[in-house]
Amino acid sequence: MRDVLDQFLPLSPATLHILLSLAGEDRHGYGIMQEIARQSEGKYKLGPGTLYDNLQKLIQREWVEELGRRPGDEDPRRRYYRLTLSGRGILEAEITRLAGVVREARSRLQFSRSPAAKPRRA
Amino acid sequence: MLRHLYRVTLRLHPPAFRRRFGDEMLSIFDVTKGSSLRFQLLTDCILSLVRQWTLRSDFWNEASAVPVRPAAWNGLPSFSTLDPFRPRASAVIHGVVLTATLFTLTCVAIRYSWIHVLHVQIPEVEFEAPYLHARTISESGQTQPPALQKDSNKNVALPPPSHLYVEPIPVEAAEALQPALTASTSKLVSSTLGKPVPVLRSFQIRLQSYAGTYLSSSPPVTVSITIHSDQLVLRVGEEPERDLSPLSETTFVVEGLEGTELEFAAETDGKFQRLHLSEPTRQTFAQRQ
Repeated sequence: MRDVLDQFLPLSPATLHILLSLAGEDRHGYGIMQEIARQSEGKYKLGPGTLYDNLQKLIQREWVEELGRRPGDEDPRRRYYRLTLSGRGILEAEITRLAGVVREARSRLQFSRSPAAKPRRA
Repeated sequence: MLRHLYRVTLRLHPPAFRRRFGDEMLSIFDVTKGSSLRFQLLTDCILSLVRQWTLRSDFWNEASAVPVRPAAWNGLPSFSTLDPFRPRASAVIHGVVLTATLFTLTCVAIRYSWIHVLHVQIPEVEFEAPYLHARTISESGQTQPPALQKDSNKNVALPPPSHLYVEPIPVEAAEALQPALTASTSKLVSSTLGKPVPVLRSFQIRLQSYAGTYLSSSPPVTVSITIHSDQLVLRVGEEPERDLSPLSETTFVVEGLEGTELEFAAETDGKFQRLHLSEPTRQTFAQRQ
């Protein structure tokens, strides 16, 4: 199972942010865009074309499922999306991979900053 | 305006994508306020359009998750085809490249091939440049090329009989020249139909192919065609000689005889073998002797 997930890693930034935005609750497209902007503090903005292009792929891979419209919503055209179990699994695998990258990066940066790592002059 | 453009751009997306996400994308556009933000959405939609048609051929025929709207979508007319199949983008690109390559190779082969099976001999028609540039109008209003002015009696000057020379008359000048043509240079000769036919003196025709003696059995008469000073001359039996003026490459008018025409036929080895003399009172068919 782990090998199956690994073939999709690393995820693209758009895919990662979409999965991450759906990890907490079901959202519609506009809600996903707003959540991504909030998570990245406005540094990463996703347009509707890019969002739905990625959602199309994620639905086809069955990482995200479409829930349809909700009655009483502000805009009846909106449809909601939910993270599936396999989607949650791929997100966890990507987070684990990223955690390893961050851990490795921190250790390298600490090593380069320590005085012992500096070359001695003759 | 931007919303209309956005809708049109959405409408151009692949049907499966449009049916599934078109409403939601338009919903996001409606929620967004501000022209600059809306312009960004339009740009994003255009990029999405390119991406969907070039990189997402796998999703073109994806089954729709929502019911298909048969007649119209959001006010825009929609059409559907019987066969939803579309070739892959890579297959289309390969086909275009292959077609262009084959077409180029064919053109090169035709141009540089040592087998000249496609060389078609096109009859050569030349325009006499001096006629075009040096046309002069004489004091009497008579329009003639310079080469023809020396021989005003015969009015026809013939170059070496190698090609059929055609003198084009500019459209603008044609109306201005019409009185002069009808006056003298182009004599009005009555045809067999009794209508005046302008004789175009500028037709210069190979004379040698017409000259010779022709025999007719009924009525028994000898018809001779000779060349005098670059002019075809007709003599029928013991009758006086008559000048021939060309109407076309094979048809001539006999000057001085109203309603009389001479037609040549059956050219073999550069010479006409038969003629037909059409007079108001008789018809003469003669064979080259």
